[in-house]
Amino acid sequence: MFDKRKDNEGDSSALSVQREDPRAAIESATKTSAVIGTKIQIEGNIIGDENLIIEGKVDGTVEVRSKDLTIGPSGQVTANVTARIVKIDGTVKGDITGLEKVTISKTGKVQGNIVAPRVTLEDGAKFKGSIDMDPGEATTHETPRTSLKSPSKPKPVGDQPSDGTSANTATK
Amino acid sequence: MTREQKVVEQSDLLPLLFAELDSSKGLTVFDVGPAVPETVDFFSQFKCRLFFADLLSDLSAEKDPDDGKVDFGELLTYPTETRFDICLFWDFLNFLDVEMLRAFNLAITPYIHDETRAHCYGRFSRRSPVMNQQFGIKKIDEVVVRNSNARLPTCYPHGYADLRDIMGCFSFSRSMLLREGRLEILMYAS
Repeated sequence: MFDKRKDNEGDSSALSVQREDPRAAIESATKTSAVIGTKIQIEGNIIGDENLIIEGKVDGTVEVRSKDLTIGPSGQVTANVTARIVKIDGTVKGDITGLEKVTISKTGKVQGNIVAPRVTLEDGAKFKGSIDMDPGEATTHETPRTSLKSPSKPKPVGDQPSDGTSANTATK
Repeated sequence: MTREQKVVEQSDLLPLLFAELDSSKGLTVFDVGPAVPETVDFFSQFKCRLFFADLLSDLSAEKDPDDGKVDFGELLTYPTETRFDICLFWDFLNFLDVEMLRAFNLAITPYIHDETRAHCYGRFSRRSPVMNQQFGIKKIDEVVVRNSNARLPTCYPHGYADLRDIMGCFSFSRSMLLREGRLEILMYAS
């Protein structure tokens, strides 16, 4: 018994897997959120003022402007969605507005246009479409991590390389 | 590099892509490849609009059964006022034959403005291999390269001269030979 407990405590990889499991996170979140279950299919507009988790199918629009929206791993949404924070572990076809942030997790698949101050893609996430980001909307005092003013654009000095093996500059 | 690994490569030309670029009004960026976390994270520091086209998947999956070509006019349908400040073509041009390359040049031209700049990888020679890889920007001078297991269409490795002659909407500015015959090329709108 002691050994077993010790094994569990020492197994940090198992713990980290549990932490990253979207289903485990959703189980915890369901205590404070409305849930559209895996066997529910909705056609129409959903407007609400509480956190929402979608595990089923939704066709229409979803709007929980001041709350968080999670599309669970089995969630299939064909809709334009708006929420404060949008987290996508499932599939979304439509435009997504995140008033604070949009995250597409490693199991997420999105086709559409995203508008949010900040957008995060996890490794393995599938996304096709456009992303409109404006970090200034979220944190007005943040300065860009990268300056675009240096180095200077190269001045034209010569002909194009014939074989492309050297770094030459040519006329624009 | 194994299938699951990614490596970070230094790039001497990537910083020039951003040189003297006014980001204050927001950047419009076209990435022909799939969205990768590093590129999204890099541009998240700017007000910007990123277009991820993932055209390689269209090329692999949605070929017109009549002639085996894709219609870039249908795939590149952005709002008419859209003009790209930066185009990231990565390896994509090496999966287009000459005819498709001309069609792509034609399709992208309406979205180019006087100050548009672009980045792509050609090949040192037509015998240089084209790997199954995905690319992203990690830092202003760093490219992240991932091995991909996505299905690839037929490849047509293009040298500098081939690309320069066909991609008429751009003037080719600088190039740098990298490992495995990969040729990094910087272009400006012509």
